[in-house]
Amino acid sequence: MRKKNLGKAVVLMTVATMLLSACGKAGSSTTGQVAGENEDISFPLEKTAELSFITSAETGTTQEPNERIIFQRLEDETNAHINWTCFVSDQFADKKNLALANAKNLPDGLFSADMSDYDLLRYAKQGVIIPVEELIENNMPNLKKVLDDNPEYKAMITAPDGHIYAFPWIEQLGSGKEAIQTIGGMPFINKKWLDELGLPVPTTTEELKETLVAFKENDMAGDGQTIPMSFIMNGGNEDMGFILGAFGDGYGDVPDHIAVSNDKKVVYTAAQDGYKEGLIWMHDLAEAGLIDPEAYTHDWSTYVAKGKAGRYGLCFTWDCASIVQDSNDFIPLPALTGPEGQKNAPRASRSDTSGLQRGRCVLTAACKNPTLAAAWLDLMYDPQQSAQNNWGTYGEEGKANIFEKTDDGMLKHLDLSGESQSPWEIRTTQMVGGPLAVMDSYYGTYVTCPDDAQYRLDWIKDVYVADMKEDYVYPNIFMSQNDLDNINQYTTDLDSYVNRMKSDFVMNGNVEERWDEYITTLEGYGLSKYLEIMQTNLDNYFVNHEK
Amino acid sequence: MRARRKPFADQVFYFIGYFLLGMFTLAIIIPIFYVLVASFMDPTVLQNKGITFDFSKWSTDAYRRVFENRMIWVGFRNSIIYSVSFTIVSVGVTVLAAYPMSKKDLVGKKIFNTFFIITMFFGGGLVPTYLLISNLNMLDSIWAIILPNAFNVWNMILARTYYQSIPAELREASSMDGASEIVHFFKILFPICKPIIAVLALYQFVGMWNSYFDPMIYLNNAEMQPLQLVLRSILIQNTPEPGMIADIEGLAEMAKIAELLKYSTIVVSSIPLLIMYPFFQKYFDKGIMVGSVKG
Amino acid sequence: MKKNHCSNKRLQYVKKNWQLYIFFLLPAVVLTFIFKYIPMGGILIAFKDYNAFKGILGSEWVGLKYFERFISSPDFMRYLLNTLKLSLFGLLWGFPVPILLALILNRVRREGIKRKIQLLIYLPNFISVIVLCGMVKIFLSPVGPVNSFLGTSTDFMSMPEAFRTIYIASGIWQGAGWGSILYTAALSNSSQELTEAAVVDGANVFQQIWHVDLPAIKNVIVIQFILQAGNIMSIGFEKAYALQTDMNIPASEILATYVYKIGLLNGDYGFSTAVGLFNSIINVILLVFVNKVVSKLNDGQGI
Repeated sequence: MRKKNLGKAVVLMTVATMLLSACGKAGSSTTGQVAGENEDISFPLEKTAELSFITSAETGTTQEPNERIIFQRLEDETNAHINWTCFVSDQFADKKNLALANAKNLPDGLFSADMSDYDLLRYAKQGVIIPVEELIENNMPNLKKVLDDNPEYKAMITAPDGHIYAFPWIEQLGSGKEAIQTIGGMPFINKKWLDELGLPVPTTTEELKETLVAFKENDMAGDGQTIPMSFIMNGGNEDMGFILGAFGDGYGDVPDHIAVSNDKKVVYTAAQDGYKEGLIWMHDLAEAGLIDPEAYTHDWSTYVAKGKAGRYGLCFTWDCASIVQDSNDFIPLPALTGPEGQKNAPRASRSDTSGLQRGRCVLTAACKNPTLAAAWLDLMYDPQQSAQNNWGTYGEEGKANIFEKTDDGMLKHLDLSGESQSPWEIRTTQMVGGPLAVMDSYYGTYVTCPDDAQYRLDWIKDVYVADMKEDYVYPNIFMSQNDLDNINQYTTDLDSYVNRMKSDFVMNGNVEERWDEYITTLEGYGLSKYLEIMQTNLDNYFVNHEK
Repeated sequence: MRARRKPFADQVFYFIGYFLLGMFTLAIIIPIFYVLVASFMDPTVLQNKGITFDFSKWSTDAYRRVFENRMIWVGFRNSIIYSVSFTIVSVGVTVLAAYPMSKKDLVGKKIFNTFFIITMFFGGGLVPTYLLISNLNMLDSIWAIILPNAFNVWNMILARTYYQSIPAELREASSMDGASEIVHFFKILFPICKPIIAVLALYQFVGMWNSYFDPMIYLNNAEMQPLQLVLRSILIQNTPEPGMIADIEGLAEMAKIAELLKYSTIVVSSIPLLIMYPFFQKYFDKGIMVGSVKG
Repeated sequence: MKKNHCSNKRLQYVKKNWQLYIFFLLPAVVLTFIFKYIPMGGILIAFKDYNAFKGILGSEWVGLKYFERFISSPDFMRYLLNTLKLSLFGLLWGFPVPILLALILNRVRREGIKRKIQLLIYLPNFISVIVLCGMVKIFLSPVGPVNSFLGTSTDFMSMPEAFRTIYIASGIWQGAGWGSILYTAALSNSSQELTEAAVVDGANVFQQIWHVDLPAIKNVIVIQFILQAGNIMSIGFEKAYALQTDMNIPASEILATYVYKIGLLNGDYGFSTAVGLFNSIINVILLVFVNKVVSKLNDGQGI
């Protein structure tokens, strides 16, 4: 008996010690400064000042940001020395969170913070990061100009409580219907095979089926290796949702299953009749052996490997150059007309304000001189500085460069095909990331548009815009923490079920019979509640936006 | 001389036993072989046609890339240092602690038992441990890797169980000869326990060799990275984010490299263990302790 | 008085055997205290909205909010059951294999072959989970080797019924050889003389194993079983996640993968700690239960 008591006492004492030690960790709480003093900071500074930031860098490139020529030039120009803590990008997520949990060693800010909306709201609520809208207004002319010229971006980076908590990353490539993100998973058809068979590019779903059959029967790839159509089921940009736009109301399917009707109502694509019809058609194709049997389970590298071996007649992806053997053999397939004459090129959510990352750069409560930090960060929003931070720079001796500076001062993307390093390696060596804004209007003035973006923008404009019947897409709304939590929960459950059934319907058919049960189950997972949250946010957005 | 008749039961045993063993071994050999061959093949060919013994399609590209990377060698060196030190410290502490715990009459045994076992289930988790290490100024040092998990309760229990199978008379005898516990442990017990110590050493060595998460969290200096972390980086680095507007062809090329490296990295990281293993194996052999008990 | 006599005796023991405490136990105790107990206050994070500035104690109390979050999914019970089933069946099927391997190998007479086989069966242990799952997918693909061999084109990876078998079988494949090391080492303890005596007595191999080999490793078996039973909820998410496909989710979504999807990605430590705590509590319950049962069967010898 006594032994037990002794034992308990020991345990209690140990627990008490733990609690006491947990106590001692509370650091001095610093009140977040929302300084907006009109301190005139001009660079170069008279006296060298220091700032500390956390950032990330790709593996294989230098982990000392001050070795990058962009930062060296900046330091020379500004006389501001930055103390960097650099994490390798593939370890960044874990390390960043731990760094933010360590109150004693917080830096002035995170240059490349990679924060989700959730992160921003959570850390803001805890007082770990500070609001910066005053700083933008008073100390950041470059960023202020970008936001004033593009008010939709300003709306997007403002949190539900009216504050701005982070400096954004913006890479605008087209806007509205012509934005590069409008269509994520583009269909690409093997023109070479079509020509060899003397077939025209299919324009209806019937014709597509016949074409696929022809591919198969003629074994275009040889050796029985032909795969008429392939994709990665539920694989984001590799999913085939685009062609489902030929059915029903034409919403097709997009990765987050959200679309907006022309009377501004939120639509769940995976519950539409058109979606159902489309899947019935897909099952039909599957039965005829026209779909890659591995489409339901293979991963990206397998998908690419098969494409590179020249086996695909039709495939889906962001840019076929990454998937197929020779991108010259393929062309983007225009939207097809369905059995009832319906035709639409479905647009992806959040695409009209393309290329935005809200939580790119934050300042922490430990920052002693926010005005200085803000002023320094504002330099990043200078048009040519942004271009360089994003892609790379010019004139670095002894190394491959991304740009050259033309006589009229424009940064021109260089052709990197002759270099020994891959373009990606060159880019990651020189670029620094962080907060920046590259707007559509810059192309042609400050910097050239990168080639692989340009031809994709052209595709969208030439091949797809005319067929886009949707006037609206769901915008990139900054939602409240509560909404984000709930949405997260609903979508995890819903996506899981929807994805599974999509595979099931295409693989096993019986769609019509099982449809009602499917819809009921969706309701059980909270579909209506989810859509309600989305609708409320959407309505608020339009009200505010129309102001 | 032993009787030479082979009971039927024996034959049955050996027949079934060898059959099962054989099947199991075959089931192992085939995929291992696959990994080995795959590490020499171009991933595109591999994915589309499967393994082929057409040597013209083979290449040592994957290995070249791995070994050309200077960090691999740094990783090797670090891993060896970490694994060896960790094993020594860990096995030492664990095996020592298991000894008193194996004594039936140890005063406070239940307390210690509870004290240790609780930690097998409950722990503060990542953040508090990280903060502690940070406060102790152990970040970016080898101690952060070695100390926190040096004492392993599971292993302690295994060692303790092993000790318990050794007759208590052994200790009585040595005690009568005037040997203290320490002397008894090192002179008498230790040689007998080589098998369990070897097993634990192997477990700890391999565990440390394969670990990457703790080193990732506590070591920021690239020069201190162990092999697994380096390999992981190489693999991940070459797996692009589809949809990024960057040089698409370059990214695709890199994805292919990642595929290529997938298998060669396994081979590379396993080789040292394969070399080392026989060193441990001889301790598992029979008959080491027999005889000393009877005396 | 009896009390004094008792405590005196105990104190005497400690004084006499001080070496046991100071030399043998102290390092372990110190390490455990520093690195396991001091951070334990962190368990509180499971009930708090952790704020780095306020520290663990100062952070806001949110009670069972995190627990509610992962329990409130309509499918929570299914995830829990999937986890338990996977672990339980994994234990049931997987536990005997290393023992069998060790016993059979122990009887192999040719040393050379024995060593080679041992080396081979330990190899799969070194293949990382991701690569293992990649290989499984390749082998089981509708157009892969297994299907060609069987002449079918079944998509095994899309079948919920097949998930458990695939998961467990691949686990055995990977771990049984390595797991048998422990038993092999313990078997070295089995007396050669006893075996020979048994042979002389006319015992066949089965009887020899039953009477000599098994008793020698009985305690190790028991302990391993108890410990593994106490780890049932700790099934990691990596492998299940890697083997998940859209269609086998009804069987492959376990608590760990679900939790990963709804919270871990956000780096929400309160949430992950809560889940860890939940798992630990179930593990403890199971451990205590199994320990009691096994101890009864094993003359009071347990943990």
